[in-house]
Amino acid sequence: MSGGQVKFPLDDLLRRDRFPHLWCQGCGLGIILSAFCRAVQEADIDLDHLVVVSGIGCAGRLSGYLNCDSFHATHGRAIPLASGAKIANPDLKVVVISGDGDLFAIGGNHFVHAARRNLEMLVICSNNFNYGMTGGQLGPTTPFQALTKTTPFGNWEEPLNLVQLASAAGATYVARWTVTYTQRLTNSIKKGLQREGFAFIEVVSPCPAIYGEMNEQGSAWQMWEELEAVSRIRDGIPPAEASLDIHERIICGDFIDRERAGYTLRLRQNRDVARQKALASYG
Amino acid sequence: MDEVQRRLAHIHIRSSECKGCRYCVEICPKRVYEMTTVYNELGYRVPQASHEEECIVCRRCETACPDLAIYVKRMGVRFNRRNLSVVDASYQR
Ligand SMILES: Cc1ncc(C[n+]2csc(CCOP(=O)(O)OP(=O)(O)O)c2C)c(N)n1
Ligand code: SF4
Ligand code: SF4
Ligand SMILES: [Mg+2]
Repeated sequence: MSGGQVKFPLDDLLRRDRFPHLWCQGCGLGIILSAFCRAVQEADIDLDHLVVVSGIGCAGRLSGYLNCDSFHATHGRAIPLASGAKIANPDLKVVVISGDGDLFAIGGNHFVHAARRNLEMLVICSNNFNYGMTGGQLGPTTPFQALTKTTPFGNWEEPLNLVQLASAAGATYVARWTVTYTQRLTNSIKKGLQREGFAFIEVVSPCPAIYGEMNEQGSAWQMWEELEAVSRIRDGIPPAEASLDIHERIICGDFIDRERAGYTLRLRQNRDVARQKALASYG
Repeated sequence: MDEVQRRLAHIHIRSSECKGCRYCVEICPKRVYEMTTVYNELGYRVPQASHEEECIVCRRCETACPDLAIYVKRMGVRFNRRNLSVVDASYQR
């Protein structure tokens, strides 16, 4: 019964000396970490060729628990750092795992342009609807009328739909899951890891300690139950219909799955063409 | 001997890393877990797998544990001339 000396299946993928991790009771980030490790194992990704980059925030701490090359970038700059790694060494498998605030507030523009360029990377966003680490401020995905530290009388802004943004910007794989779909999430991450193009997965993740507390959603388990009750899988529906209403209906599934030449592939092709043209022009 | 035959899993819990979220207790379709009154060094009340013999190795608890503190190890049943014994089966998904 005790797990003291027994080796667990994910141990090789983790920096075990850093456990227990710093996330709060029932926080969805640990479930994302666990699903990611299982996906890496199942997709048979070589740890020596895997790079995981995170920004700043509770989600930003995720890369530090992985036993592979990982970077804790400055706030909002996970995608630029990941882009640099991929462009410098296209053989790498590059993954960004970060929070809604890091990726879509301060880092929003980087996301749009990496998707437009179809940079070959997988971006996983833990969407907990607020800035967890700094005490629960409003962010770009905070639901209308939700209570946060900076909107104590209710949020009057409309949230961003991340699936729609990623689809419109040009991502080649777009999916959304809640952490309650542990197996589907693992399969989806595996799919994203195997893709040579910009893949995006939004993971709706409970933040019981801050967001749940402010919005009186009860215990971690009560948040989980609510997520389960409102989530529905609608694979393949147009992104425009992939709505997210935290208390009414969260549409999950694979929404976009398309082929498009990746950025580093085009970069190499273009470099050869440019070289030839330059040589020709010099005679 | 019936008891031995029915047992499919060994459940390992890293209780020192558990934060007492109760997900395993609530989520298990076979009600294998139960909360104890024991507090770990982190100050959280931890569960135990009181009905391990009921486990069907669906791995719902393992994949849902936010603290990566559960490992459901599948067991194999081996027959030999003298008795029936439970042995570790190689790890499989
Ligand atoms: C340049 C800069 N601005 C602001 C901050 C403060 N800050 C730290 S984390 C964070 C928001 C994190 O939110 P999110 O990405 O949603 O992560 P979560 O903690 O919710 O997982 C902010 C604004 C910072 N560290 N650096
Ligand atoms: S503050 Fe929220 S997001 Fe951060 S570790 Fe705690 S529960 Fe998780
Ligand atoms: S593997 Fe399934 S049946 Fe076994 S303890 Fe976990 S949730 Fe229960
Ligand atoms: Mg957040």
